Amino acid sequence: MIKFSNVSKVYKNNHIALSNVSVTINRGDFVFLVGPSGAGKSTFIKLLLREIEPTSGEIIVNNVDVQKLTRKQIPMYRRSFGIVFQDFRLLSDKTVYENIAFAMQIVEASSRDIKKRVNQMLSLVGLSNKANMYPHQLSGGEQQRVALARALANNPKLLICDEPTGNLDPETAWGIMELLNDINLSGTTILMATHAKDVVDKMKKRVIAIEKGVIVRDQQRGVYGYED
Amino acid sequence: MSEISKEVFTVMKIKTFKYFFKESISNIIKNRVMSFASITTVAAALFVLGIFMLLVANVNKMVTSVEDKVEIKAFLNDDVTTLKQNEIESEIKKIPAVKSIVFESKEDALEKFKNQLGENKDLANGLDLKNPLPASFIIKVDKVENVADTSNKIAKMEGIYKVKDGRDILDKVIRVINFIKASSLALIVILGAVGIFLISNTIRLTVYARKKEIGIMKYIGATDWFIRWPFLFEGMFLGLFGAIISILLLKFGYSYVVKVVATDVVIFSLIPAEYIINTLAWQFSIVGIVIGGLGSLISLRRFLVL
Ligand SMILES: Nc1ncnc2c1ncn2[C@@H]1O[C@H](COP(=O)(O)OP(=O)(O)O)[C@@H](O)[C@H]1O
Ligand SMILES: [Mg+2]
Repeated sequence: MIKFSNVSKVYKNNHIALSNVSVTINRGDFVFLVGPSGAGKSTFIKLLLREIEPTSGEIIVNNVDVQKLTRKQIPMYRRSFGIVFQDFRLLSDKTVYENIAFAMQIVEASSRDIKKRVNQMLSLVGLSNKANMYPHQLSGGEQQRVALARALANNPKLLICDEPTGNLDPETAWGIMELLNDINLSGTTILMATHAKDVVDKMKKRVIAIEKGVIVRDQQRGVYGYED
Repeated sequence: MSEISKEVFTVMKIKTFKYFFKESISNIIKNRVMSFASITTVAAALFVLGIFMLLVANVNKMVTSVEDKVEIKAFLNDDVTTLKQNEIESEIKKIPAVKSIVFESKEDALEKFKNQLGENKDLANGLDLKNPLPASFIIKVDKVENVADTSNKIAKMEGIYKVKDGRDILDKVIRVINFIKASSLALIVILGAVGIFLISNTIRLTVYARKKEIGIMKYIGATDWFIRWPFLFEGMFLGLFGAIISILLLKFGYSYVVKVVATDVVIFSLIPAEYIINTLAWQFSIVGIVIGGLGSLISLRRFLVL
């Protein structure tokens, strides 16, 4: 599904964020991208989303060379992903329901589909009773559930999460992880960047560890692996 | 990827159009201070433009009516015979620009003079015996521009003693009109530019206010134009609202002026007020929308990095 071949990214200030990264992620995988802050995890995700372009190397997603996408093709390409960030990135002037529906409006879904799908997503994340609340009326965990529902609204094949539990207390984080596990079991590929050791260790999923832009370990059913 | 490009180019759905409409109106309301300033400026610009257009239209109308009255008066030598007089008349008629020609005999001229004297016409009594007033042809010309040429031609004819025309006054009137046209054009350009500038600033504020939303839209896979359209709509609405306000102001203001002029100044009638609704309303709406769209585009080019 995703194949990075010898991908390097050097930022304008000559900072080498990724160096010669080669990795393959298969359909249905649940992958943790771990490493300390500044290791290059977000850079990896931004490359995948084609928010930035690699300095060298090749990224193939669903048999498409991401570098060869034209400007016009990028939106359609991004629609095959769902994305969740550490800071939720909800629209504060829209209700929970509207935030989820927004993702579907953008892809010009029909009103009927939107209504059906948003309600389905709300019950998936357990927020049906808070549909008409605004983000500031929700706890962090609930906000992240809304973000998750929005990311899944258009039924993406791949869910990308950049530190989704970074702003949550351990218990809430675990709730989100259980939800992600369910989503993965229903067939969605998940790539999650994190430096939450306990979460990674408990899940026993594939772990790709990056340090200073280099992949130092790629392990099935792995653990975080740092003794700090 | 061909499937993808096909989808990117699909026609805007009505639902999406409604979404743009709603978004732009809600942005205008959220941004009400700047929106108000933009609308007011566009309204002011178009209002001034409207005043000048009405002024020019009325002056043009006045000139046309003055043009109708432009005549050349060619005085004949006293020794011209009736035969010679007919010859001169047919020669003048041959000039293409001549529209009409009327002969005024010495007796007619005296009669006219007496009428002008009114109650004092006794003063002219002695003139009956030896009439000093010359006979003349009164010639009307098709266009003002042809007056000079025609009167020069007539002046050269045999038997013509003097030619008079109203060129001096006309030249002055034309110069005033041209000045009004030029200065109104300059003012329109300046006010139009201010309108565009203010709208582009309003849109810039909206773009900044929605930075987060735009970012999210990009991640979810919104096309560039899906992101741009609400801003374009917003600018166009601001321009259109300004245009509507200016049209209403012009309509009420001008209707009032027409009424006053109709009752107080009998000799000259203004262009009827319906002109504003029939002609200006459409032109101004389009100009307003164009100004708004331009302001929006300028702002999007500079501040919306997609
Ligand atoms: N736009 C940028 N310009 C320059 N350096 C950057 C930029 N983005 C990230 N970096 C640097 O690249 C390195 C990797 O960043 P990032 O991928 O965000 O790490 P992580 O997500 O693992 O914390 C960091 O040292 C960071 O400072
Ligand atoms: Mg990061």
